[in-house]
Amino acid sequence: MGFSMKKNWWKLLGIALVYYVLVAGLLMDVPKLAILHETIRNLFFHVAIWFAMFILLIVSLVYSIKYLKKSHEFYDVVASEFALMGIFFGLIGITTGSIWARFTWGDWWVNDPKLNATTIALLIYLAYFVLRSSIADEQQRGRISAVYNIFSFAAAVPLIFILPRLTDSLHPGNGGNPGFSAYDLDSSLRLVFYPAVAGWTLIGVWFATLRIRTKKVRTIIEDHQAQDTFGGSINK
Amino acid sequence: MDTIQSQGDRLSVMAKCFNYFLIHKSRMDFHQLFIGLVILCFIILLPAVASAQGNSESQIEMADAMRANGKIYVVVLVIGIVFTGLFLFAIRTDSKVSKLEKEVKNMKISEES
Repeated sequence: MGFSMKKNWWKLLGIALVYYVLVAGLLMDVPKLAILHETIRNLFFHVAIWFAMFILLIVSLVYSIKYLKKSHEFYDVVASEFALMGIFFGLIGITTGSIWARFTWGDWWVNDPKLNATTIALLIYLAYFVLRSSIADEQQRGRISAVYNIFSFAAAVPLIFILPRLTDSLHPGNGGNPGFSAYDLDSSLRLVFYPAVAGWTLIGVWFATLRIRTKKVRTIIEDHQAQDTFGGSINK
Repeated sequence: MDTIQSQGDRLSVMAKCFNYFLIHKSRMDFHQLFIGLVILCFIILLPAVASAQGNSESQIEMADAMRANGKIYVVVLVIGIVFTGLFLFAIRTDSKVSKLEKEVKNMKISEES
């Protein structure tokens, strides 16, 4: 088998962390709070997935900058796959958030600055993939989408983290509300929350690298085939 | 009282598992480690599941005792199985990709020679 523990230990760590979060997140004692009740456990899934998304998007940003420095095709692939995985997590985050909102705030969607701004950020990122698929030339696609990726990250940070904090918002961590520390009087939630962020991030990185590796193999095979046909036509 | 006894048993089983892992660490591959992890989870959860099934008839438990015998363990087990399936799928995919990578590498080497 192609598995060496030296190379793959972090994948097992990610799995172990996710299992820990599943079991501890559902069974541990949580602070008893009005309105939230047991849904406070969503912190380990909904909020942790958003944090993981942000880490994946940072990786994507770093590789976009690297691509602009040295236009190596591999950097472009890494940037796009990490962005895809990040946005996938973002979509999971927004869906789970909608369900949470239905049962705590009373509606599937609330016109709240946090929710709307995050949606805009996600849409900006979705345009990144539209942009990528619309350019055929590899180098052009790499450069334009790298610049756009940096722009979308620069737009996402104020949209998600700064602007909602300047106004009033239902969402915790906004409107002058200092993060989730407001409802975690005992810090026991952190014992599961931080492993949750690490676990979901590792799983995200793993899945992104799976896609990167398949893409790499495919380009090698395609190059090989192109060489074959080209060589054959010269011989004739 | 029964649960305390079984908890001690569970701890000794877990200790044995850990000991086995330490001895055979170098010879284990990813699959074996993963399956061992799953078995460990089951050992930890099994008594809880048993107690969730053998519910007391005298009173009907509601949300406050959810973690004791409100059958939440059943849900944990179900989610655990779902994730086990998904992770096994991902591991198989990973090993298939590594095989492809090896094949491509061999293809390149044979081309150069």
